[in-house]
Amino acid sequence: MSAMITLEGLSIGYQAHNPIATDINVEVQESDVLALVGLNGSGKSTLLKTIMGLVKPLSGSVKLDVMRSHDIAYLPQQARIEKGFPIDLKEFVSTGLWTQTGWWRSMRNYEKEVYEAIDRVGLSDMAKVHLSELSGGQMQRALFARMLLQPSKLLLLDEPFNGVDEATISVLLEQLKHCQQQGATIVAAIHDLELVKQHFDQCLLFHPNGLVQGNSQALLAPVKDNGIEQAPLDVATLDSRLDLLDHA
Amino acid sequence: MLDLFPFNLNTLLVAPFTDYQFMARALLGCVTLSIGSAPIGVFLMLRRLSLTGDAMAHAILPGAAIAYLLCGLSVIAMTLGGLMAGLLVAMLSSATALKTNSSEDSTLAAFYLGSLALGVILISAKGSNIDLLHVLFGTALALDNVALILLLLTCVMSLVVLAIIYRPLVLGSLDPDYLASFGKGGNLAHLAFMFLVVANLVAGFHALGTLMAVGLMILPACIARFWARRLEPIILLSILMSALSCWAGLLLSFHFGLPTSPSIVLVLVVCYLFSILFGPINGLFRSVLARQAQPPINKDLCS
Repeated sequence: MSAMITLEGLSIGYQAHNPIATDINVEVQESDVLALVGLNGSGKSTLLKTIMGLVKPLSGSVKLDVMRSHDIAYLPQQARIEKGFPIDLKEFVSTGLWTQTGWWRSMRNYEKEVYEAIDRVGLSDMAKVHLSELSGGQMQRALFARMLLQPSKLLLLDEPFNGVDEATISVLLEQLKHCQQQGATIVAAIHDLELVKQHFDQCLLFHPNGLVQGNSQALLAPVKDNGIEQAPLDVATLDSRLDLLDHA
Repeated sequence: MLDLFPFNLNTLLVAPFTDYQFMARALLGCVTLSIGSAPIGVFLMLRRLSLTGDAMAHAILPGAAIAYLLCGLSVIAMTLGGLMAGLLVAMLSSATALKTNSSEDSTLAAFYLGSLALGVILISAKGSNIDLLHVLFGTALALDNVALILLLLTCVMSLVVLAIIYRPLVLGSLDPDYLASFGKGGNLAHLAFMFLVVANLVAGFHALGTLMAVGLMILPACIARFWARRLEPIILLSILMSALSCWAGLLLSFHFGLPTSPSIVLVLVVCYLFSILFGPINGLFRSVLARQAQPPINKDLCS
């Protein structure tokens, strides 16, 4: 199996003199599911943006086994979406087709696919609802529906389950599994450690002293043992975990 | 037959345009400008750049002023001068923001204010107050063939370019991160859009002047937002509002001897105030009615 993502000696950040994370060496195989785990500001989103090509690497290289940028679907955090834009749910989801149609081709022949994608995330009765009237969870489902319309080999998701209820999370996880079965490679920045342990085989742990890649259950288990599984990751917890790994 | 109206409607509303060629030309010029610039105003509003339009309208002044001092009232020279000044200010403010980690609104404010001050000094030093008024408030009632052709060409160019960059413009306003994932297309579309903003403001200052051209661009979009919920109807409605306001403003100017471009802009402002009060989308009156229609809160449940 070939590597979908190869990161070699990668340093990421926005200013050369102030890198967020350095010396990242990671390989992600085709159809793998990888969770990025770490503290706020540790570089999870920046790494996703660097893989996507939105932020230039400070040094090192990013190699992707995709032909064009349209083979990558990127799910950004909701904060940057202008919910007051005059558009309804169906039109919003349709923008996912623009990776196929380009900027000019008509979307008339794709009506069925759009309604199917909306149906898959459980919003079929809300197709004509204005974007500003959607709740946080419904908006996240809409973003997933848009992503489902992009025929992508690589999915990059930035905090896809933030601020959404359990029911929505299970619908979205089901869709992610479906994408993986279709052969997609998935990399997602996730805050909820329990979710990572249950649904993501691999995880990449961001720590001030470096990055650790490995099996989610093994890497994150001691966090649960310490009885603070619901708490956000803190440096002390990660430090003790890394000490354990060093001595293993 | 009983005459119900003290004035003949035809005399009041239509005859000024059929009897006086300068009025017909003014209407043609302003409506042409409306068709091109109102959709641009919609995207400026949606991208939260309404005041950028205003700043750019001021920024074109020194270019037009230098051209005026060198070539007199030459439409082509003033257009090229205004275009160059506008694009220069846009590029300088963007580059400064990028290189110095400043916000683009602060760099734009600094450069457009400098540009405006320079323009006023240039005109005052070499021209007269009448020249300054001409540049600031336009000469809608004295549009010649060259100015009309320029307005028409700008309108056609705007519609064609907008059609080409429509989808990246929508995504840039709706979800800039997603647009960025498409590659460099979004940046090119933004550059083309800013060029259209400057081109329409430059074309507009012949008819309405630099200070008022931005009103014809932004106000119709602000009005339409209160009456439609989807993008295409907002664009169509803004064009219609803009054209109707030009017609009404020209009539006000003709019948009451008022300056033309402020009359057009004031008509738009009145429509805007009406929309704030009575618009079905987020209008104040509608909001009050909706609140009254809600069932009262059961205080027992709160205690």
